[in-house]
Amino acid sequence: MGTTKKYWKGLDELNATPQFLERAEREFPQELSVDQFLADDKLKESSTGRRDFLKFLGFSVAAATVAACEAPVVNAVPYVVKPEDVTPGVANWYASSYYDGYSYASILVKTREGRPIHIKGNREQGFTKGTINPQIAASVLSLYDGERLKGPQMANADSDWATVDGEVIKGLKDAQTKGKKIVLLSSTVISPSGQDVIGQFINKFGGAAAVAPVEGQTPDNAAADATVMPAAVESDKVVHIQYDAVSYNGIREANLASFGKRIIPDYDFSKARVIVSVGADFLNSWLLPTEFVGQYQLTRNPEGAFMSRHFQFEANMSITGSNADVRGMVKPSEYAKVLAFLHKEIVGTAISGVDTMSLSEDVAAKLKMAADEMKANNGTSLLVCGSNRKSLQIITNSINNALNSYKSTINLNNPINLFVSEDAKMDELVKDMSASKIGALIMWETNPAYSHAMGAEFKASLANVGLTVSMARYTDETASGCQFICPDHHALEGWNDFNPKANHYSLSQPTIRPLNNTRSAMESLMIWSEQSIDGKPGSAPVVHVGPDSTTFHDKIKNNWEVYGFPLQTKHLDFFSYWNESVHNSCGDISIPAVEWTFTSDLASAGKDAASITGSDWELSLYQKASLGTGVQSGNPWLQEMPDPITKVTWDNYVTMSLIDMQEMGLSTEVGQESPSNIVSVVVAGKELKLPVFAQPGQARKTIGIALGYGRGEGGEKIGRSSYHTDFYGKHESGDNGGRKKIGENGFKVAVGGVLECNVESITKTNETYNLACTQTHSTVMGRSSIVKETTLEIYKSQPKSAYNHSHMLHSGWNHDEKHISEFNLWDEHPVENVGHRWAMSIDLSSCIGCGSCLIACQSENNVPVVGKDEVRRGREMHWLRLDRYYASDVEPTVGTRDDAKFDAGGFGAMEIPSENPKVVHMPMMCHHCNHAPCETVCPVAATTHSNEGLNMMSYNRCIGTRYCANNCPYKVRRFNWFNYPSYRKFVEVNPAQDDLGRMVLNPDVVVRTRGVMEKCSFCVQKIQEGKLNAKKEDRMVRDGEVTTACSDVCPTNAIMVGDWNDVNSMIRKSTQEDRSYQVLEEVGTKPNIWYKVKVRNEHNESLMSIQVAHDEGHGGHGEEGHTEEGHTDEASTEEAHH
Amino acid sequence: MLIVIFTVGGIKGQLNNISREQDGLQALPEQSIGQAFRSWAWKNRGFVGVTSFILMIILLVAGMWDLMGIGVYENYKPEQPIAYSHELHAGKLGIDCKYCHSSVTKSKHAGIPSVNVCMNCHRAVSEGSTTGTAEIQKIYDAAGFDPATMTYSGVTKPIKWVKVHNLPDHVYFNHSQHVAVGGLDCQACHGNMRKETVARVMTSADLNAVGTNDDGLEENAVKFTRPTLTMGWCVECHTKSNIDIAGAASSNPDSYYGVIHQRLLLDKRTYQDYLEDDVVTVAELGGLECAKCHY
Repeated sequence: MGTTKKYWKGLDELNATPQFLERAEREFPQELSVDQFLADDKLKESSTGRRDFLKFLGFSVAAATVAACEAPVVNAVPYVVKPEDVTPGVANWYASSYYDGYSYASILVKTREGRPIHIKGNREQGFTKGTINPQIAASVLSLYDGERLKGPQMANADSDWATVDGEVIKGLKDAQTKGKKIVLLSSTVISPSGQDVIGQFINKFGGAAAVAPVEGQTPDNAAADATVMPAAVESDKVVHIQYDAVSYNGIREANLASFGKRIIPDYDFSKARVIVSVGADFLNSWLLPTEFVGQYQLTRNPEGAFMSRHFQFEANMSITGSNADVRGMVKPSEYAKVLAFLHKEIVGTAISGVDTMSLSEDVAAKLKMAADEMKANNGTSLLVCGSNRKSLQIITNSINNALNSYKSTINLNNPINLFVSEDAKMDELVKDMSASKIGALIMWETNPAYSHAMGAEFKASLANVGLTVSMARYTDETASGCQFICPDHHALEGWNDFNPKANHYSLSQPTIRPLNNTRSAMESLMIWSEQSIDGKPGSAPVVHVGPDSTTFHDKIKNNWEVYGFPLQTKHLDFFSYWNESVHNSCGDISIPAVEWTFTSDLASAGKDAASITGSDWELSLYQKASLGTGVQSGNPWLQEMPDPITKVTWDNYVTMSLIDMQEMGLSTEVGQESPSNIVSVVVAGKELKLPVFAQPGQARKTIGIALGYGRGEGGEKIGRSSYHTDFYGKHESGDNGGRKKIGENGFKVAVGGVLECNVESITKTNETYNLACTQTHSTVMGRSSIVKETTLEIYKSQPKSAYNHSHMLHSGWNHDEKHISEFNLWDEHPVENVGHRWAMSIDLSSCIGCGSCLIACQSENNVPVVGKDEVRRGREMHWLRLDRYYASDVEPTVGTRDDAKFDAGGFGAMEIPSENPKVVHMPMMCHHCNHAPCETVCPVAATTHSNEGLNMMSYNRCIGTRYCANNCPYKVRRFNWFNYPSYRKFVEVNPAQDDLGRMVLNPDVVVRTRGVMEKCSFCVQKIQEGKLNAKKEDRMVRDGEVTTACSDVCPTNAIMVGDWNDVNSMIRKSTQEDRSYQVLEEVGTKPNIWYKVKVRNEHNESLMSIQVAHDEGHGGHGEEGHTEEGHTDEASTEEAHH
Repeated sequence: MLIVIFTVGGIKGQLNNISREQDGLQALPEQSIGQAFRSWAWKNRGFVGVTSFILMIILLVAGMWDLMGIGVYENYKPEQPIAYSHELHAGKLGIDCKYCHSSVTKSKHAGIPSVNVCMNCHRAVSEGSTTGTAEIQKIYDAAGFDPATMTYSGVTKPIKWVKVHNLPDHVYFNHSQHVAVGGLDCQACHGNMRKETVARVMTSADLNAVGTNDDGLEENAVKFTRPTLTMGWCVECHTKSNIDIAGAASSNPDSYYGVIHQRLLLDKRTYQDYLEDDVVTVAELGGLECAKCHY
């Protein structure tokens, strides 16, 4: 038996032989679907005749049949020495921290048999309290990117560490002897040990003698721990420049002027009853959203002690703006006027030179309201401004000072250490480089050739530098111009420590042995400057070890022992202190509070603010929730994530107001076959050519362009998903013959780090471009009772029937009014009484639309990436989608709409959104209906119902009729049109689906193949795991123990999962609240998902009158014959798809 | 047989012609075999029709029967890199299964013991009763152990065992659910391994025989009719295993099953539905639901 098995080892092995592969490649149109195949002109040139084709087909069918009869021999290779804490088949979770120079969060990393496969937030430790963002969740996939550098490179060719180390040290010494400047360039380093290494590096090459630790003296950004790490000596020979792609220089400079220290204070949104943001997207990208989101959410609970009122004044429709109660649309150049208006109202003094009178009436009214409320809530309000201009930040400081925010909502004593960026130094460096003044340049965690406005100059002048070293993980835009690339580990492969806020220290630990021959950047610096672990004279300098190196770990441990351990009193020995620190990943120290005095320097700030002149068109550059600054542009999960606002995937575009587009004669439609016009935008003398997307809520005469795109101008190896792919999955070739970049690089025009720019010209071109936008996919056929919203006022003062009316039917001879759930077409499932009933509640008030759930779901459930072309056809596979509804101010609700007008325009007229719509984010996934329409139409019973209320999907039984998807009222089923995991079209561009990328797959979840339907399973594998754990411990499942990937990662706890049959569970209580309703309950599907009515803290007279009138209209008896059409409950929301 | 039939048919035809000649009749025209067959089949069309119909049915049934055997690996017993004997270790020496397959109570995998588990004993035992030192030396090679000096070299070479129990694709099976929670003994599904050398996929007959011929093991409550490691086999056990609802609910009301079963007892109608055949089976409590094993 054994021998036959070995002979046939299965089709896999057969395929692996070159002959078979070659034949397969030539004969089988296996990369093509039938319609593609028939449409392909190249087919006629094919060398395979019909007869040959049939012969080969016959052979392969026979071969496949025979092979399928015999199982392949599978080897099982156990550990030689099994690590004590690893049990094959059981996941290990490691507490760690994430920092990429942009986002920071305390995280938990799930590993299976030594492979990290999932990242979620750490709810128990750290100030981020479980909040992460899509980029952090997706970073686990970047670990397995095959285009990451495999080892050190010299002159863009593979090399080895010994050679490279020798050359780099030689280069450094050369620079030293020539007396030229050595520059270390990175994004902000918040690692205390990293700062120590850099300091010693500077000491070594700066010529300074070893400096003894100076007691009590600390660098500005390294907190006030008294023992303290020696500060780096200032040296003019060796400098460390910290430069961030998106700079917060303005805030730091403003605080230097106002308080005498160049700091970014800590903000506390949870204390703010009134939040006013001027262009700051603090829920998505501004400063430290991983902290702010959680704080913000605490103030958004309509049942809480108070609900904050959030004012947003901005040009683009940002995620933060979409959550605001009151949103005013202003041009970026008007931010100064907005602040001046507030300053005059609140502080009482006008900012001279800034004309506030030119603000529109609407904005002025909203500003007046904001100012009045802030004054009324003195001490519990907060003003933030997103501009990187020092002057605007000074005005902001002045207002906050008048509001006593510095005593409550802003904490100067615990500054945020992120974004140290010193823009002036960076500009000087570029000048010095072109003037050949730099002897050596060492860079890590930075990519100025891409992310600096003078990136091209920077890259060109790299040639003028004696020694150029990049420690980038990819041969990116900057690294490709360097002599040496010494690749750093991926964040999940190495040790690090962080000091993100003055009082908070954290660790990140490796969760996998380095996949490639990479080395921690700090270890490289230590080796080049011959540092020892403890830094004492006479200690042996560290040397290169290889993948199992513990050098930087030892360094960190040593620093924590010398500097960290004495700061605490809990542990008596270092060992237990260190163990606890690693286990928790972080710890706090106490910072003594200091009194700060505010120095007002409004005169010069006003002068600068007054000098801001707008232009006809203005541009706001913004960061997407998916790509941010583009560090992970090669990550297909992020590329394919629909933008939370525009729902466009894979692309960069210009957002513009609908009216402006109509005036310019641009196509306003987005659809599979309706291409967008490309416009040419000229800013700061540089041209950006991008398609235009109609964005409701975009301020008139402004445009928005996302940063993070346009990477790989020279076709660099920065990850295959960074580039355009054509119809057949190959990379499209760009103008330079290489791969074609996606979109344009907005950093090019962000001169001086200011993201608000004046547009010189914007012109329509003759070119068109197809965007892949999911916003109209899976629409729910105009059934408008899906979203319900109300205002806090109505919620507090009116009965449930006003804002959350249930669907009642009249039945029987006396026309009794009965709730719709009492009518059944089918027999009841016994879910309500027996065993568990897994249910979910989604609070629309809490959901901010960040998109973390979507990526977490993709990571947990092995959801494939399909590529832009397929998304464009509506074939995206995301199990969970975030529906974004715009609500127009004018409501076509029955009884309130002008029928004559409506009849003329019909639903088409509804599609013209108002200029400044309200936004509702709504996560939508399988509702696990107890009377599921999909189950009744499946001809093979592949989708069935469980006694636990789950709608189960058996992939191996599914034959792909797609009846279920057609019958699903929620449109949540996804069909595998192709064999995504192995079809070349997808494999070639998607690191998630090549051999290395498959390591990210969750082994507990099946990888689906072509022709089967799939959908949200409620993370049944997690439910089963939770139950099993409970059974093994002989106890009932604890409330909150079973989670789904989406609820687990949700930063605002909008999604909650639990056992509804447990009468004391949070989910049971949540579903019985007044705000709870079920989507499309009138259809009678009896779903296991509840939503909670969105509550806005606003005055809305029209909504009030509608909802109150509606309620009274129903008083007591109600109408007869309620139908869906005649019963549009929610009054202020209509889907606006266009 | 076909040759015999054709030869006999040919001879018969010739004899026929001879006899016709003798009778003074004109000889029949020479026919090819095909023509002869066709005319014969036409003459006996009733018989041929029925026979071929039956033959078709038999072929189809046989074919289906054969297809059912695809993916059935009863008796699969591949050669292993080390001639390990369960008979010796589990049978003669009486080592508990869970000593080596230690993750069986914790994980979905029972686990193949890592080399360090072998070394717990084989550090001292370097010679076997049947295979001498040769097989045990393979463990030492894997562990990088030198029995002469009793030292480890640090150079290890993992053992590539051949996986024996291959589940069908797209199935999730968890050992700990069955062993730690369900309280099943290993022999219920793996038969009497105390009489085997290297691992073998037991047949359902083997499982049914456990405990019947005085091997000191408990007899399986469920008698199987389906081949092992197929879905039918799983389903058979889930439909035939009974659960004492009331007993579990009262004996430990705070335990998982205590709470779950109490909920069922409260829902009298459903409980009575389940009890129609006097027993509540695993299947009735959801043990046959697709998403219990397929996700």
